[in-house]
Amino acid sequence: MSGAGIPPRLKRWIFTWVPIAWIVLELATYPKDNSISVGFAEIVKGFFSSSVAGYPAYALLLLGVIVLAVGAVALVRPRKGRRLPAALLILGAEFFVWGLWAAGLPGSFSISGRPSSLAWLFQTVAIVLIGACVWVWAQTNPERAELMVWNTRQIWKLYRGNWQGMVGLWILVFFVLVALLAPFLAAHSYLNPTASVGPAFSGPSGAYYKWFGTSELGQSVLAEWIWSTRISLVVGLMATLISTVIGAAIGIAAGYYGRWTGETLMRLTDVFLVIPWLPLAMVLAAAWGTNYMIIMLIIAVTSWPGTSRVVRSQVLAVKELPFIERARAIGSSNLHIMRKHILPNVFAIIFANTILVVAIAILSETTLSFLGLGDPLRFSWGTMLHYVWASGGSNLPSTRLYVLAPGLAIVAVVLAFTFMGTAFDEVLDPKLRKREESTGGPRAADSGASTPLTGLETPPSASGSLPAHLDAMGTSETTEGGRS
Amino acid sequence: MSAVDTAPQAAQAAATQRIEHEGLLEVRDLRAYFKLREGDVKAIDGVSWSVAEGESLGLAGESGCGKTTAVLAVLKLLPENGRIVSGEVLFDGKNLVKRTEYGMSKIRWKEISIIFQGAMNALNPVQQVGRQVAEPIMLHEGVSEDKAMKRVRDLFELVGINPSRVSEFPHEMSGGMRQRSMIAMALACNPKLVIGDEPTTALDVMVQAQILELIERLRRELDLAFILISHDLSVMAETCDKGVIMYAGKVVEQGATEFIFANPLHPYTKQLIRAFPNIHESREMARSIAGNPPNLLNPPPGCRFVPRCDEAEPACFERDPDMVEIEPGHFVRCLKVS
Repeated sequence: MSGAGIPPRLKRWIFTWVPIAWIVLELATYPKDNSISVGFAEIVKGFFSSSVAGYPAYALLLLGVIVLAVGAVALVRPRKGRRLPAALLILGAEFFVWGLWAAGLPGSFSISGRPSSLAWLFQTVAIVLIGACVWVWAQTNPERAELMVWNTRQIWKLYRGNWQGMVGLWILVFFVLVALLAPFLAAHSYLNPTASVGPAFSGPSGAYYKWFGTSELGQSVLAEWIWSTRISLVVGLMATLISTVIGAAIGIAAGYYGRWTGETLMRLTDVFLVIPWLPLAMVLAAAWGTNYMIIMLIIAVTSWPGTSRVVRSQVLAVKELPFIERARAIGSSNLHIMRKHILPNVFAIIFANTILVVAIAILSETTLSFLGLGDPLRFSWGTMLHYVWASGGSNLPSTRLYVLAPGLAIVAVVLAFTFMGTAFDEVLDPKLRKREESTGGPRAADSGASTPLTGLETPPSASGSLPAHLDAMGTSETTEGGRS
Repeated sequence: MSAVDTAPQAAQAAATQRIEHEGLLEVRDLRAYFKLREGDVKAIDGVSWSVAEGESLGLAGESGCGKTTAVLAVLKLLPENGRIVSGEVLFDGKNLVKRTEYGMSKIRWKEISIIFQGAMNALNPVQQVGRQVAEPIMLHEGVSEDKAMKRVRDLFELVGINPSRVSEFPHEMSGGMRQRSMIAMALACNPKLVIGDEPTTALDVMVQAQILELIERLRRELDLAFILISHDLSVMAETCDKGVIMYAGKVVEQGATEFIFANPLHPYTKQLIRAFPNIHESREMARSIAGNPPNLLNPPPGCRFVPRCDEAEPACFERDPDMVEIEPGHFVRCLKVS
């Protein structure tokens, strides 16, 4: 069976997404001062400059150790041959060497790393290796790869038919592009307090940097807005990631163990749920500092209870299903049951909830920044609103765009994530979907979702699962985590 | 299987620590209660039976009489509010009641496996069936997935499923096939004892017959000890060497199946047999047993079957009789008989 080869569609996906991932990572760490005016040759050079891929060395070393460990374990207990473990070991070694390189020679070892001119090369190799790992995995698990491709395509088909989801996605793509292309859209030097482009609070005018007018220091609002996009999105996404991991872990543990373990965890959750999050976040920000990484942590720490409640309720339903008892009868450990049987069955709800938490996280970041607890060294949309408010310019007619630009951007991004969350909820929950299809709306017809994916229908490729297993989950919570 | 080969020496060596026991699995005076807000439900109240190697035992009785609880207690898989109060479960001379959860996980499936009631739900809907069958193999024998899957293919062949279907999901299989794959899973680690908890409920009659035939064939081929839980007496009569009739958490009659069916002594057994249509004495409608089993929260003194018994005497209300051996290997719990 192992010689069946990898699904051609997955092959195409790897060839498409490896370069895209490379470009995204390169742009995220692209030199900030290489604006479009420096000339084409310089711009291309920027992709290989020393600021690209300058991640902290400890992160790289940690990643390397983790991947090496996974590879080593897989090598000791090979599941499907030794090719995937070997690929993982190579990848881990690459991260490890990269981390050591970034940290420097023993004499001048620095755990936070330093800019190096070869980092881009390490990054390129790493991304190619990740692609190779996926390739090898698909080669050794052709059935599962086929299934994954099939599932992804089905979800995408359904998602594409959902107008809310598509509107949300396009809004998000727009803002992600703005964030990634920030160096080309506005030179970072325009954020300098001394870099004024005109008198304070002047209205919008035709010149590019004055499109949105000027700030209280005469800076370009447009440049601030463009660079703010980055921080707002990064903080929102990273905070959500941390919050989801905490929330899901606590929710699964609380739901699965029940009794006093579960009670203790849920009371802890309740404590976090009933403490008004804003005062808590303000206290934490005052105590821990206002670096944007710390803001991220603060938001994560205050936003996980919603996720954990939603996940727990789903786990309570899943753990009563007979196959959990069967798994116990087989002799599986609790950890094994939670990982292999519970998590896959609650994953859809975690995912749908995550997207809604992003919206909340972005709003939280804005709120904190607006109150003056944002990172003073970086602009975010909330920070912009804070400055215009604090300087008393928010009522001037000439600053209308200064207020509106960040305000509307926040509304748009939050709306986009809410739309996407609702869409995923519908796509992943057959019950919501069924109702829709039975009303015979025009959408089902023109969306290309010609195979009705409801209930226990057998998928065309004789291997596919998604609709049925989600159907079997029984109760479906509406994903309404977080604060109201 | 290695335990069987080295049995003589091992048994000698371990004889000092081992508790005297007969057969492979012996349940002695087992009591398991469920805790409710109102008090303890005495779901199993002093049950004793044993299964020898290669023997098949049938557990029969109406719903709620404690059949399933009895075997779940053997494996210590009782729900959270259930607990074993007293008694012994001797498997191969080891007392399972005293084992820790970790110790039990080594026994479960490796030595004793279960075919669950309603196999359609005992499979994880998001995992391929083959991988689920492979799970106990990888878990207990630490072999690689490839090796385990190879064995799964053999097992599928053994239970009559096309091995190419290992990568299918539960919803792609029919009920009978899911039941077969559960049987394959039960056999995965070469257990000595397999428990079938109503393995044929929720299947249609044709498939039921196939599954029972399959179990019977496998039992003979692999020399398994087998416990069949069923409320279908005809199935029990056909497949089991020994029968245990349970009522309201107690064993009321026990013995070789021939004895039980040819010469039922307990009124409950008699009525239970009468409740099934008999093809030999035609034109007689099957008769149901009037009334309901007693509330096990606070069972009345005396015989538990007394309210529904048509042969009851005043003494039956006072005293709960003990099990009495009527003929060799045939035990009955009834004042009238003893």
